[in-house]
Amino acid sequence: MSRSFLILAALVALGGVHASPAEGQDRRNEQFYYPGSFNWAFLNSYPEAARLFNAFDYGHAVLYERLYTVPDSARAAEALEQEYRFLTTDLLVRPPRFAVAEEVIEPSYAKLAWQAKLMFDWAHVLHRQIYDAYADERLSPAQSDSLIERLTDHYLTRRDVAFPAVPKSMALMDEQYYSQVFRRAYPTFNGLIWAYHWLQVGLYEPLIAGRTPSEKKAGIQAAVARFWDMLKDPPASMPQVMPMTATVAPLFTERHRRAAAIYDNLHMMHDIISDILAADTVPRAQKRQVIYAALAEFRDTTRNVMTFDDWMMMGHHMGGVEAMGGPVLGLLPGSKPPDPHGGHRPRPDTALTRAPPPLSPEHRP
Amino acid sequence: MRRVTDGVVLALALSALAAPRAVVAQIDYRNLDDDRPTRVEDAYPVERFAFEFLVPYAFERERSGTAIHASILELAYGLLPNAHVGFKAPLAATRQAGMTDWGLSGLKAFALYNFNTEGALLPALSLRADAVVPVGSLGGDETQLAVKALATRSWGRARLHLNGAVRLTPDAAAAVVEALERWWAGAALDRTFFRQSVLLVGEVTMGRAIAAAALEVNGGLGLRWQWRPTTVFDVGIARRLKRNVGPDYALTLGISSAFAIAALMPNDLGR
Repeated sequence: MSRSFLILAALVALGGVHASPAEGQDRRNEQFYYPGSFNWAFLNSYPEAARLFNAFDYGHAVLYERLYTVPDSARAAEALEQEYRFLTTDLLVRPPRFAVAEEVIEPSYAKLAWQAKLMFDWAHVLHRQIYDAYADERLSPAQSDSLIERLTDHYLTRRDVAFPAVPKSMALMDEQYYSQVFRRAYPTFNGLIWAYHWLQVGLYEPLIAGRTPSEKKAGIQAAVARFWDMLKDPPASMPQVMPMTATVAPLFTERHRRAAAIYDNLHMMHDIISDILAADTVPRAQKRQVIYAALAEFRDTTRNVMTFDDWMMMGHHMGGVEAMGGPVLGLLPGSKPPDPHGGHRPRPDTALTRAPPPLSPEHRP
Repeated sequence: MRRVTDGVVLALALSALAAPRAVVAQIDYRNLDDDRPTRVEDAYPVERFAFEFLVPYAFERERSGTAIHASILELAYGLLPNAHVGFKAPLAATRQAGMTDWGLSGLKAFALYNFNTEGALLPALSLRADAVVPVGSLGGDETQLAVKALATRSWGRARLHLNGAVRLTPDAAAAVVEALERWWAGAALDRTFFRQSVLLVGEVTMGRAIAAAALEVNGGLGLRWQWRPTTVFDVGIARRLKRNVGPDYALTLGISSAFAIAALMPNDLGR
């Protein structure tokens, strides 16, 4: 028994050692986040928003899983329509208390592209910790800003999984042979993803602009209500272009340019992977290779980068904040409400309990 | 030999359970640690730079009437990428024929190395080494060494874990708890309930304590629940599946908490 077992263990070990990424095996490479008492302050103070992000994680994960495992486009459209309904009528309405274990939702995708999952996870940790830094009322604004810069430093220590702190060219997202396939084939689900990204970067604004906890709370509730508004008449009511952090969250970008660039790179990569998975021009056997090539390109800080000045202007060239879901500040009653669609805006305190609108059929190309 | 009541031991164990306050941890209800609550564990290590502190209580009643209470304090640390090290300090009390012995049941050190995350072909694979030093009144007579191979494979919300271990050192008087068996193997199947942050797990294990011992086959069920962002609660029950060998029943419950120390991380922010 002992000898057989040792031989088996050795074979298992050798199998693991010799497996290389090129053969479909990745290292786990998980790392704990930076500790501090500020962690979880956002969840504790603003659970209505923090829990939504848990549902957002499900939305991202299930999208990739369906696109990868349902290569037939008609069946994929049907599967995504079901997931959209589940998300907008159930999971977003009653989001999980804690983060969703994405491997459970996207098991095939996680096996295909673990490196991509690691990069997204690490960036999402930065997202969450920056909310926490702002939500911790024990910190002064200056202390929060200092902490956020240090958190960004820490994020960037992992060069193997960090998105760069310089803005990468939009051509990487929009001008590749697989580009824009997903948004054209599935505009409603794409709009939902962009609405997620609008809220994820936009929530920094009320946390910065709010002078008191109650002002911050009201601003966050108004932003969440605006998010629900985007789902009223999809896809017309959704962002029409990818929300850019500098445009949607100018206060945050002014203070933390590096983190803002990281988020835009992250969100571009989200869209790129959707395109690669959805594109028939990328053979199924090549999906992993193409995704990993895109990841490598995004980790490279020397190629296809924009200047910060050009990046700050991108939002204007793309149609401005109105095309990206609208401004986050100014949504509260009594404040100036920018309203790109001229429609009714729900009161913040009722928005979370209102039933989302019925699903429109996905437009097929 | 010291005589104490089971109630005192239980009170000590419960007070230990209440002691830790989570500092900062991650959401790790899916990290299946050995004995938390099943013997079979998953093939993934603690994250790099993470500490995981576990405070369990366990009770086991043997067919012979012997009762064993134990609290096996454990600390693991993600020392290297894809590897963790740790130690266990088992406090145990045995009660038999009205007499209770209690004390430290050896000290265990362990290291786990994970070769790969699960891919399209291979499951996640790891090797683990354990060493038990005979410290304490219930700690046995000899230092013992063992190695274990671990594999984890997932299918959506379900995962299958296979563990197999063999002791490399000769049979000797063993520690009362956390002894290294001659060999054992086990399989566990778990299912994740992601909205509730709950993991349900069931297992079957078999093994021999020493070469001449009867084959022991046990079954177990357990649950892990993300209690707070920083804390996981677990509970489990096990029972022998052969008529004459193994526990009549075994119960366990525990709390685990993960945290990190800034000074040990790269680019320390505590500057």
